[in-house]
Amino acid sequence: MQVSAFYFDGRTSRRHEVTLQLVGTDVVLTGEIERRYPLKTADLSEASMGATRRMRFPDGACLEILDNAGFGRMLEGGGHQDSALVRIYQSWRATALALAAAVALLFAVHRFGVPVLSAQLAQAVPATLEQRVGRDTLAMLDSGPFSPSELPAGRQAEIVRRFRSLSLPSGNDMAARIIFRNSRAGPNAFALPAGQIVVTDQLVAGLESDDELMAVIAHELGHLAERHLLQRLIHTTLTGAAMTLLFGDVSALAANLPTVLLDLRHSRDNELAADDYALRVLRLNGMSPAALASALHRLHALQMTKDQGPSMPDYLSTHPGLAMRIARLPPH
Amino acid sequence: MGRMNDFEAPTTVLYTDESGRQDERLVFTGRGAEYFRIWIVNLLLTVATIGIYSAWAKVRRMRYIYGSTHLGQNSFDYHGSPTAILRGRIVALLFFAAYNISWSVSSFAGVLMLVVLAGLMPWLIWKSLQFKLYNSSYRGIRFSCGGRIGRVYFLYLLLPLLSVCTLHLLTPLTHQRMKKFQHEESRFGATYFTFHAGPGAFYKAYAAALAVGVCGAGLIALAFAGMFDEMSAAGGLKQAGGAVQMKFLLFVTINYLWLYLLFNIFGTQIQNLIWNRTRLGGHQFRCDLKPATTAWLTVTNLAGVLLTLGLYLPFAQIRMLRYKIEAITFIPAGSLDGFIETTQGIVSAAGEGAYDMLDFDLSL
Repeated sequence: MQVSAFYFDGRTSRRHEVTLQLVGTDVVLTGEIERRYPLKTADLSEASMGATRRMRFPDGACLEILDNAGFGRMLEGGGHQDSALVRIYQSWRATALALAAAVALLFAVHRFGVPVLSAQLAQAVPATLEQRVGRDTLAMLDSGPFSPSELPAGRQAEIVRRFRSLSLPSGNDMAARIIFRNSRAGPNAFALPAGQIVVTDQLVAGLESDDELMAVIAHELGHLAERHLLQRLIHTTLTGAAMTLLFGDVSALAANLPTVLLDLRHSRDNELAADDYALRVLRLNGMSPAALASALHRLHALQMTKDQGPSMPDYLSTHPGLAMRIARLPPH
Repeated sequence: MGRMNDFEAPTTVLYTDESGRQDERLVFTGRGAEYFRIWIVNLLLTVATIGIYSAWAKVRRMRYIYGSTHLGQNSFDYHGSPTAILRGRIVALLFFAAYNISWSVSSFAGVLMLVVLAGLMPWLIWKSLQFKLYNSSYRGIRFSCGGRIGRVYFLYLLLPLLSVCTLHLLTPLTHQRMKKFQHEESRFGATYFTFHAGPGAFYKAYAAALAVGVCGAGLIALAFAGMFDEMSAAGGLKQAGGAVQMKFLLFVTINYLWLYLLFNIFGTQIQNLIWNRTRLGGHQFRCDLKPATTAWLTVTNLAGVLLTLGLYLPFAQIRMLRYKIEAITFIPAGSLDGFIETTQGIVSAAGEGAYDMLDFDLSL
């Protein structure tokens, strides 16, 4: 049987009307030009409703098939079948299955794959390299809201002594130090990858007992022990790359927004993990686990009076609402 | 029949075997349903192969779109090689990771990385353009793009920097120069495109968009005047309470929507401008995208995508593509048979892969 097509020789844009036949293992063209090509050297495009079906030949020439139905029958007659992959693209049922599988896979990767990979990669990074991360942060804060601590030297020494006497679940080989600052931004404590835990005077003043203070410091130690900052960096990089890959051809916003939201989610998970670490430290040192809960209560109260209103909704915040964290802790 | 003289390249020799050739509007035969299947299976395989399949997915997508775009009775073809695209994407990923990490190491490393990337960007953009054009063909003849590297850096690094320094007063000029470069260095076979729009036309388009944008933003702010009153009465956003905060969120969202809409409409005005003033040999183009239709398509597409949690996305893309492609009419000055091919070196794909990663859109 014969199928009509347009032939282009790849040297000029001149169009030739031809008919093509399959003769043995060759494609034979007759009409305005005569050609013969072995079928296996021809690159055949797959059947499509919308796109033109074409054959590309090694000499740069190509064919645009005019009679698609006829061409399909000719191929079938010659025993040629579309590859399995192509048949998946063409089947609605396979596509529906693919959609379900894609969603499930994406969810699994996000929930398990990326966090686990981030944690693994974080462990693989040498400590010296990690310490360089965030080195500038303290300097930046010192030139901003931070000023030298106004806590008496004796009090500082007492806190440090108490801190050093803590037994830690991961052993005492973490080179962590406490640094005190006076902060315009209120009570706060955070950990830097180089092993510094920054504690503000306002935090010390705002808490009732040293047990509560140790609970908060233990939470920050949790971040250091599990290398959360580094993990977060890896997590955002992986997620950002994946989002751009998947959605980049659609829009930059579509690629970036999920990355931000997922990063916030990952941060919140890390905060909860740090809370768990703090509880372990408290138990290990014979302190009441309630110390963490009451510290969080107090911080919550301080935050409420400061803002005079509810804070930002949970999913927009890096810290899960204090209320949520408190509710999660074991009752005392 | 005309006679073709090989030594007359690069000018087009026109055949006159048919009289009164009429204008040919581009036709797009892509179907949303079919593209949806391509999109879904691409997504699954890309995720399952941790992104490696994305290069093959791109080739499949491009071939479908090109093959569905018809001029006269023939369509376009895409020749990009998946392995070349994959290599480019891996390089881009490494740059992306290095950049992300460098800022955390130190500000100095971050700035250094930024400088390196800024230095490479013009070359990447140019190579990406060359790769895309070389791998596009019509009637068996490939497109191509030349240019000298000095000019590339002038246009894609120096001018944008100057533009930023002058509060973007130079942006329309930069845009015009870039398009002029892209089009006049581009060829179909041996025939060069030419570009006939001056900076003035671009300034007008930008000014119009700015004026409309500002008016719109003003109207939106006016509509929310009550909310602003409540905010100042309470002494701030946090103090004003939940209801006012929701209104503020709505205000911000509407502004984003307005910006998105404006951006799309502005894009179509620029597309009109560019195609109306581009020629290929003696042949011309016309582009008649309308702001109202663009606005309608943009809004309904967005609604569709949101309501279906993203499943409508491929349909939306096809819908918009169809409108943008079918707005272009080719006005021939003679037969389309007279273009000849030139021998062309292979263009490396590091450019194209990197460009995808960083999500620029260089559509003409």
